[in-house]
Amino acid sequence: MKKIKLLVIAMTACTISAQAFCGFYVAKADGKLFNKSSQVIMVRNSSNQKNTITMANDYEGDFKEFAMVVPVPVVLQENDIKVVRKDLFERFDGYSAPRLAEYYDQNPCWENRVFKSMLFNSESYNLNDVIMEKADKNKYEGVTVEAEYEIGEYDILILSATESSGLKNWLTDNGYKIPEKANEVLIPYIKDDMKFFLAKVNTKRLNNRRGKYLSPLQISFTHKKFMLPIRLGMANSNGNQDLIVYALTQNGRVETSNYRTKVMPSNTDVPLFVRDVFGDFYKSVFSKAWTNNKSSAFVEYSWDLDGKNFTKCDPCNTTPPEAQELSNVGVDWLRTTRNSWGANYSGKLHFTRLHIRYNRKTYPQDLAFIETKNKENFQCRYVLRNPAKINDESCDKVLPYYQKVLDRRNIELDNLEDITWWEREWYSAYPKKYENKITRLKAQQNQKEDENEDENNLFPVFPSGTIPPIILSFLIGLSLIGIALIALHNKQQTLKL
Amino acid sequence: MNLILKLKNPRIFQIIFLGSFLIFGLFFLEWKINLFVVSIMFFTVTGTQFLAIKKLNLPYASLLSAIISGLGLLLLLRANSIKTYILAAIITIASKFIIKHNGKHIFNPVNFGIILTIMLTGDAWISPGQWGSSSLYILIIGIFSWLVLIEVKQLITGIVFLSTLFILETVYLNLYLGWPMDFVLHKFTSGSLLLFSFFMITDPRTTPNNSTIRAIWSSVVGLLSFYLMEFHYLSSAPFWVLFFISPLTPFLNKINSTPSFQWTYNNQKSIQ
Repeated sequence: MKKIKLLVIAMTACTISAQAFCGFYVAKADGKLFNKSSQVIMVRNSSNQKNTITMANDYEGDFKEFAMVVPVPVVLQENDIKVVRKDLFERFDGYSAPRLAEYYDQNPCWENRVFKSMLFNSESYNLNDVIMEKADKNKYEGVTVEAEYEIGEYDILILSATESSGLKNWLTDNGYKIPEKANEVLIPYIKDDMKFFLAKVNTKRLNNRRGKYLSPLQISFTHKKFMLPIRLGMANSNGNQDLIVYALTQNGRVETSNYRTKVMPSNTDVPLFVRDVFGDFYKSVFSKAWTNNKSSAFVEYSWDLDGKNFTKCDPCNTTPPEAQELSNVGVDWLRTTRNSWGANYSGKLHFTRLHIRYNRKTYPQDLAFIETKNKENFQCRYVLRNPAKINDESCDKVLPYYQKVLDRRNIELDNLEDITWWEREWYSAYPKKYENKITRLKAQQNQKEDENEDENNLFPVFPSGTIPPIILSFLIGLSLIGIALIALHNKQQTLKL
Repeated sequence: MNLILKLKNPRIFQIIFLGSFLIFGLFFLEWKINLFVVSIMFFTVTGTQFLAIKKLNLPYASLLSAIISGLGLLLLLRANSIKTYILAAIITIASKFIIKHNGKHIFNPVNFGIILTIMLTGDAWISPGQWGSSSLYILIIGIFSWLVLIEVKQLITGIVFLSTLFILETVYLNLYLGWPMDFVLHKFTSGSLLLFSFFMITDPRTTPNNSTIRAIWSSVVGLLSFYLMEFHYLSSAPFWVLFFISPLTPFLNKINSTPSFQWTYNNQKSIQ
């Protein structure tokens, strides 16, 4: 009886694009450059303070023109820098992306069974233009080239500087065209003794690799700082930039310590037509959540991936990351073993996916992170409920069932209006279909219907409507305690007097 | 007249303020705690306090201070397990009766409860990112009404602490590193920091008795917090500093012979 359908919808418009990191792109020529949304995998070992940051790179212009600057707290050694496979981002994104779960109603005249299936999709994000400006020529005062490496297709330089004007001139003269405004962030970074990680592409080595794209760059360093420098990227643009952080830690959920961390709306029933436009739907959900809380980081996924935790997602978009993939992104504290909990590693691990849309106004500071002990699992999940196909309408359970579907469709539209910018009036045809069915059936039956059937949700979500009576009783309780205490207190004082 | 007298008890006000922050956090900021945790917390703090009242023959009105402690824990401490909250509540209330010197607490009970729970269980944490800058207005309104309602003298400790921190952060971040002023101000939008400044460090029972020493003491807390926040990236630094500096208070009180702080209803104004 039970049938599980697995639908995978490939939507060309919404494929994930691995994108560039929060430093800034700089070009030799005034080519068209886009600083799109960025994806970063951050691994933090809290016991030895080792950070491994992997930055996706989907630069699409001429590779000769590619140049990237990232502030780092220490001078990196050659073996601290790697290039890794691009598909790691697709794996991590696929695993943690917002998901759509789909359920099928049982024909009300049959026994209780549920058909379940799921499908998934990912998000794509807006592009932001990068404005390039010209810089003056001057001396390279205070600039030291600390190290020079050839890693994969990249030529890497680590610079330290004592004068921002010297650094700026050095960058300009060496083909890193930096925006005028970058000065206001270069000065604090220099004074804070940050080093500058510069990467350019050596096209000869790229040709050897027969590469059509640039590999993600990975850097590791041991430092107390658990942060991402986003300010440099903002020097380029006044617009919003999106950043997805996949954080892998030992103990629990990662939060931003200097901005509010908020979870995305989740576990909401949405209309069936969302299936075909899930990418646009989620964009709208995120846009609305962000508009209401502009300086918040949003949790899109948070899961305890301990080797012993059997359930590593529910429903799973893809298989959870495996030992080798985790090791490739810098998780070095797991032991590779076969175990009976469905993982090929053992050890503590927590996966957090944060989505941050930042701009200069709402994000004055770089992102600082804190690893909490919060092990609560969270996923961004939206639910579709397919009504049963009923051919024979003679059974007396059909009319109440249609009524139930109609009510549910109205709730789904309310939810849609609640969490997205879409308005329910646009979709009046959606409940109308069942209104018509009910009218027709009523006319056919030509008898009084009983509408008192209890709703029996097989997969209950927790509607927010249940909160107000709780608040009320809580407040009443609190005030009663207060009154009692005041009375007691008065009695005490009277006794004293 | 009687009603005004009743309302003059600052602890009632404090319960109203902290309670509204809690309700705001629960229903508008979607904090990790729920009404079950809230009720367990109130039950445990009042229960523990009640036992102490029976044992030590204390006035029943001291239950109010237990409720304030419970609110303080609920606002600041986060944990996965309900057992951790219960443990924190018991530690907090018990510390008031166990760790004493010359009739004064050595540690601020809520601070002691939070730090000890974090150290002992590995299941608890402080969540500085739970407030957000939009809720700041509510906090500021609350704190200003608090300032208006009680004598500013009591809050001098918090004001000295906050000003020291502000001056040091401005000098370091703005004047030295060159970050713009909104970068500096953003540091002070932390709800936890404001609660610490106006409801925790102001506790007269755990601060030095002499007003000059108290002012120096709170600026030292500010200085150390600044150091830990900027150079060791510890976002909850003030709580740790207060915890480790508290045992110094009895020594500071010995140096100065000002009569010890007397406990009355009207000067009990911090998270107890």
